[in-house]
Amino acid sequence: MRHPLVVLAIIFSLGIILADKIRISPFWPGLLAVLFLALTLASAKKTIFFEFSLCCLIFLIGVLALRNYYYLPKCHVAKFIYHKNSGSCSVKGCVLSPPVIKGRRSSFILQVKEIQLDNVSYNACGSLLVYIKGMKEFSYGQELILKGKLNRPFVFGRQGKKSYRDYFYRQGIYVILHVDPVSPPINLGEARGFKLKRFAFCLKGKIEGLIFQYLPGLSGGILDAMILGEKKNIPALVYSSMIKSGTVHILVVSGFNVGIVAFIIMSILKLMRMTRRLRVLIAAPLLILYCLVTGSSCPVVRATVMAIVFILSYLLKREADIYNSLSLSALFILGFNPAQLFDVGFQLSFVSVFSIAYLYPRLKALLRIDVVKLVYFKFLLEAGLVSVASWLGTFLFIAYYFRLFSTVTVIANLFIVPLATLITLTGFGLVIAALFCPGLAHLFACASELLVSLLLRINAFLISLPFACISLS
Amino acid sequence: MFGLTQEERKVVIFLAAIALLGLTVNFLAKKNSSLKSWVYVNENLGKLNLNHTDKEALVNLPGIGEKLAQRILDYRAQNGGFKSLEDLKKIKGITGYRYQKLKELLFLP
Repeated sequence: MRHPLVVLAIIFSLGIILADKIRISPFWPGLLAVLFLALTLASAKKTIFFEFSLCCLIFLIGVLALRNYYYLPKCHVAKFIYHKNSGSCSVKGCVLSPPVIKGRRSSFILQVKEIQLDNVSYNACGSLLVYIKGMKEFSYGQELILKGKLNRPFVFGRQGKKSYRDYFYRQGIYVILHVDPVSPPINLGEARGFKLKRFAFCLKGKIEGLIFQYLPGLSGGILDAMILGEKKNIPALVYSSMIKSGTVHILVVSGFNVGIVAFIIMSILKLMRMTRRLRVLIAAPLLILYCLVTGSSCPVVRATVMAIVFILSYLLKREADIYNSLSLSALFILGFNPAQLFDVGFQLSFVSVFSIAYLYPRLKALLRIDVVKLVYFKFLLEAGLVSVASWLGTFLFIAYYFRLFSTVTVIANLFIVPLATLITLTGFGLVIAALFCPGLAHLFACASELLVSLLLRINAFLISLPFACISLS
Repeated sequence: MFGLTQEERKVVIFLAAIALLGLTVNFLAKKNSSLKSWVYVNENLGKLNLNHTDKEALVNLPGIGEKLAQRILDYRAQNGGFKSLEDLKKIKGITGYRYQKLKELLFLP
């Protein structure tokens, strides 16, 4: 079998799904897992027994992983909400994510260390989402004391369906703190957390500053989303129009962006006349840094893991297999957070890559693209086939989650993806030029502005076509 | 089904065993907080408790001599113990630089 990791990832995911559907005590799966571990060890030389017991073991580890993820310790901040309208409390903790400013309020994730209720302090753990009025500039790792009211996330979804609360639970957030506007936050000033992550967020702030210095307004907002994954400056109308045309994936940092970053890094290093081995060695840590800068979203982690697998396979002179590396990245993400399996971003990211890897070569062979002699026409056909393969894999998911069926997705992607590639390249060019040669930055800014304008016009034209987007709700 | 070699099988078993052990330890530490101190390495391990340490141990720290150690003990006795590590700055001879060095070597429960 050429893809053992695919089987392991599927079995692990099945374990997670079972644990989500059936509420069972972790004791029995734990006991069974130990038994199957012993069986696997004992049957290491007998292929059939070994493979059967290994499958059972991985399945049970999947069950245990989700049960363990949802199990909250006694000191978890969620355990301090006894009734719906809990009174005011004071929370001490450190900032885990830079604040997102939306409208007149900021929100960020706080890792709780201490909670004070009725003048009694308790040691606490877990994360909570903080909503605070005004534009607050907190940085990652900053220690704060906040006063306010604790609430559980609201259930906005329909009865029996996955809801807003489920979304937060999957992220490990069980509580929302609405900060009292009359009690300003007390900044304890100590910067904690991982130094590399702090550096990454600092770098993100600097890059954002450079983008908006040269490209204010909507163009800067779109560039910010495409390069750094920050969607806060994109108007809702633009965002919904991209959803309707099926091209919203370009507004979030995904594997596509990681690929472009890898391409830019490799090109710059090649210009410096570095050997290929050295180039890949330098590219790997830079890709990890980019992953942290963009907030380590699911598609970026997937793409980074896959890129590192490819880099390692090159260094070790082994053949890289896309299915195995895709499965490894799935196991990596689910190992950290098994609840991600139920996240739309995770599902779309993996399904689209899998369908491109599986369907694209088959479609290409079926349509005999290799016979086409005209190079540009062949390139256009291949780009279209990638888009078709991705669409075939994801359209059912999009119809289910977003209640939309876009008939222009394939055509839109054919025009918008090359444009998005150019915008991302000019965006990175703008940042590099602003750092090393500010005189040139204006040229990149003008080019980016033109390309963004073109992208918005094409998108607006496509969704204005009759039956471009059919609502299923 | 997997087509693994004997070496690969050993690696897979090892990884699965580690995953199972890690999950068990993590779950037990969540369920029973008293196990936490047994399972996880205390971040104050290797540091001195500022409110309980004696003069000899203080003198052994880099940057602290007999006199400074005595001043620290005097401050502790006069104020009924240190409330925070920042209180060290109030002692004569502890500059901002020295405080930064000492902060890494001392803790308060």
